[in-house]
Amino acid sequence: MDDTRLAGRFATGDEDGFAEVYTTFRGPVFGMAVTMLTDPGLAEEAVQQAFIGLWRGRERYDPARDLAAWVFGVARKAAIDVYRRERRKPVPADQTEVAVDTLSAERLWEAWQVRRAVEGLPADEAAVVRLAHYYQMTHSEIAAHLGVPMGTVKSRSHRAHRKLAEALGHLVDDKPGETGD
Amino acid sequence: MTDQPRPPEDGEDVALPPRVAELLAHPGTWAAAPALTAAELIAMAEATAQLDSAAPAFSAPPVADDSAVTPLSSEPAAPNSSAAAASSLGTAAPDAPASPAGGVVIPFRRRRWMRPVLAAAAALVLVAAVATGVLVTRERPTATIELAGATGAPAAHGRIRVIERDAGWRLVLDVQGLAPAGPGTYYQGWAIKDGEYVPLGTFHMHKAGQVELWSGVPLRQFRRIEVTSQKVGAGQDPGTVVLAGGM
Repeated sequence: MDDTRLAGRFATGDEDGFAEVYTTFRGPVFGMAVTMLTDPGLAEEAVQQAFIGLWRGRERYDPARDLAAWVFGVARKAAIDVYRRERRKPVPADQTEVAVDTLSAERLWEAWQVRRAVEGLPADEAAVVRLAHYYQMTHSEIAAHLGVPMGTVKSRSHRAHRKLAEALGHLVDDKPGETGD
Repeated sequence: MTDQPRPPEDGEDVALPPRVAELLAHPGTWAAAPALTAAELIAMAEATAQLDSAAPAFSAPPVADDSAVTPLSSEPAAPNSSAAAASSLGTAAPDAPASPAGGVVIPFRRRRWMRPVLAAAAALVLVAAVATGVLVTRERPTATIELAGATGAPAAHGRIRVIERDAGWRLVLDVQGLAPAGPGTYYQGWAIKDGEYVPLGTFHMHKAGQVELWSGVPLRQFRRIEVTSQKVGAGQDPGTVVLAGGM
């Protein structure tokens, strides 16, 4: 996953570069929007708005800037716009910020990074992690669900968790409470 | 009492920090992303850009109204100004009544010029919708169901949005990691409760994208949704499960 090369592709402004950016970031954008908005339908609207904004604003992107951070910023703003629209009535800015920032930018950035990390796993390892953490299945339940031996589940799980720990190591070093929760 | 992971023992998973583990259990980490393609998004962006370029016709006050907020004692408009141009088109009303502030009020009935603009804009919206085949949907699902890959497709996962309609429930399935059905096979959705299987429709996934299924029965009466791989001509018994999720 080479964001520098991707940034160069996006900066060309052509459709292929945009398509690569969309393929790379639509999952994290959607995940971040679901985390913020909780409603998948609203999150889908935020994804559309974010990428429409990225396409229309692609000429303003400086490839020297961190592409992931750029996309994250545009996507978070799109999600906040959807959130505010859903409020249907004007509210004091500080009140809106409190409500939206229940999940701070730092927390959403973590959600974004975790989503990118799991999308970087091989599909069979990601499936085990998903079943273990999201569906709260035991290894034996996963083995039965997937129809594979328990040893296969254990080895996939071990590899996946090692990769996640490596990819998200910087989060390991953060102290709880520094995320603005 | 530490958030730092301890070294794993042989065969044990590496411990992840609590915040990462928490996010791994969050729907946002796993929810299937929208099935829109980049080309569809670009088409939507271009369509909305066209609407935006037409937007001043809606957002800018009518040129005749400019005079309504312009004191009569102000400098006359330049000959090539929009007000002058509007006047030459007959949209300004030379006999318009003076407003209390001394300006000119144009009765709303005289804004007939807006009709063709509105009609053109409506047509543009329709053309954009047809051209892209995609619009930002305001449909609100009454429920969403997450599906995990099963024996037949362990890497697949998806999400069903349940949308109530007059005649039943429209089920929009966004699925990722599910291969196109092979020759002589297809996929079928099922609602399941106590051994009862109600079919929800079939699809082949030959092209990536959204799948539309349908239910004529309320899904809340069921416990589980499954998608199975079926063989053509092999009857209606459920085949190998490729996706499954609880209500």
